[in-house]
Amino acid sequence: MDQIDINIFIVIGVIFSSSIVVFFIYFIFSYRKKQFEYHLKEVALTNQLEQAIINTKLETQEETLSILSKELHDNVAQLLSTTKMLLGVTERNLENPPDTLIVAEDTLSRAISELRSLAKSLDKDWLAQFNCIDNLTAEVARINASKKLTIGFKHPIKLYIDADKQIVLFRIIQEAIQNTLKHANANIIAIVITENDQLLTIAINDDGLGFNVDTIKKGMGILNIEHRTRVLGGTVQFVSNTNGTKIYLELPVEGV
Amino acid sequence: MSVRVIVYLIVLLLVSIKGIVSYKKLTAPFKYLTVYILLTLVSECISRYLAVTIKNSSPPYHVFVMIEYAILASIYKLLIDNTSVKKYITISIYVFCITSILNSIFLQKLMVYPTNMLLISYTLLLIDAFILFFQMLNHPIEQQLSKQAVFWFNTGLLLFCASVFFTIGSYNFHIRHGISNILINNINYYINLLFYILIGVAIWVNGKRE
Repeated sequence: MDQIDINIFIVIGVIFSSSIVVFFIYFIFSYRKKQFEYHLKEVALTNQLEQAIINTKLETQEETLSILSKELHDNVAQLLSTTKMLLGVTERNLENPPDTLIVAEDTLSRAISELRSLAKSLDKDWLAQFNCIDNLTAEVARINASKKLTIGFKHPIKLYIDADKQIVLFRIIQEAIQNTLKHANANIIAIVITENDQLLTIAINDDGLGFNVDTIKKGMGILNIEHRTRVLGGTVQFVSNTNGTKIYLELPVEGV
Repeated sequence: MSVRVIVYLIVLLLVSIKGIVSYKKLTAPFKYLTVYILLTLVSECISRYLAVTIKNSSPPYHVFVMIEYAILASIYKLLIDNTSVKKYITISIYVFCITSILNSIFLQKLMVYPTNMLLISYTLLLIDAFILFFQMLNHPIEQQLSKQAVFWFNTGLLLFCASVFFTIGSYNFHIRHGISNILINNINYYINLLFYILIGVAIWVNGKRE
């Protein structure tokens, strides 16, 4: 009887210790699994939040640009037109109008024309009606006409992405051009857009002064390009040296 | 005093010192844990002294069993989020203390080791430990398990309660069958050591956090 009791005691002891070991193994594995799931959820939430913040920022920016465009078109352009009209009246009233007055009137006409096309390119409603290629062609023509530098633009006939996304893409390229104009002291910019079933690639090269990609403090321009590219679900690379800067964007066509 | 007792007391002393040194850095549950370890050290010293002088180490355990349950249950009260469980813990502390006093007066008097109350105490704490483990599973955090003080504390307590619960049960069984208790005493001794080492790890990890 005693031997049976001792055997029962040993069996209970073994079952008991095994249960504890099994529980710990279960706990550690389950915890790691849940930890991983939790991590994935957290990453997804963070991305979602970041995306929402970026979208809001972009919407606000678009709205501001739109207001600025209206302001330029309705206010500044009108004032310049009135000035041009007054200059014309003065010119007609003078028997021998000086050459400077004629040049001034001509310059003012060009300024009004530039301002109107700039206002147009900033206006979101206007942009939504046209595709990115048309708008970029107009923007390139406008900048080429200013003779500050020469832009070469190679592109497919049409981009197969949503109008909303085309605006974002247009703003990215516009930002890159503005950066070159402001900081690079470049003579040439080459923009090449290629598109296939899955990928849209955009290469923007200039022959400017370049910058150190690793050490440069990222300004609004570069950050804007990075943010906007992320909104489109794509990637952006900056390669820069003393021979110029290359910006290379890859955007998924399906995801865009 | 045997080498085993000295080793046991040294472990308790080291953990107590670590707790006192990092006391300010510790979070509330681990401050309680430091107090618990200190009181354990005091209680163990008294019981060893009584074991030599009056040949019975049981009297301090009648008081300590209440203090131990109150402190450990309070730690769980701080660590467990569920409000119903918190209420149950608060009530259980009062009920346990009253029951313990009644047990010492009527059932297991001062010179008898209070196994009844220890069994109840470890059963209740075992439940708390499981609740905390399931809470951890339901609300995981990104930190590695080995860097979570709560994990070490709960592991130590779960192992300790489960093992002591088992060894006390088998102790009674051995007495009834006239079997030697050497094996049980050894298991008990090493489980105690492991428990206090794990508590030391918990205090150390908690004190290290940023």
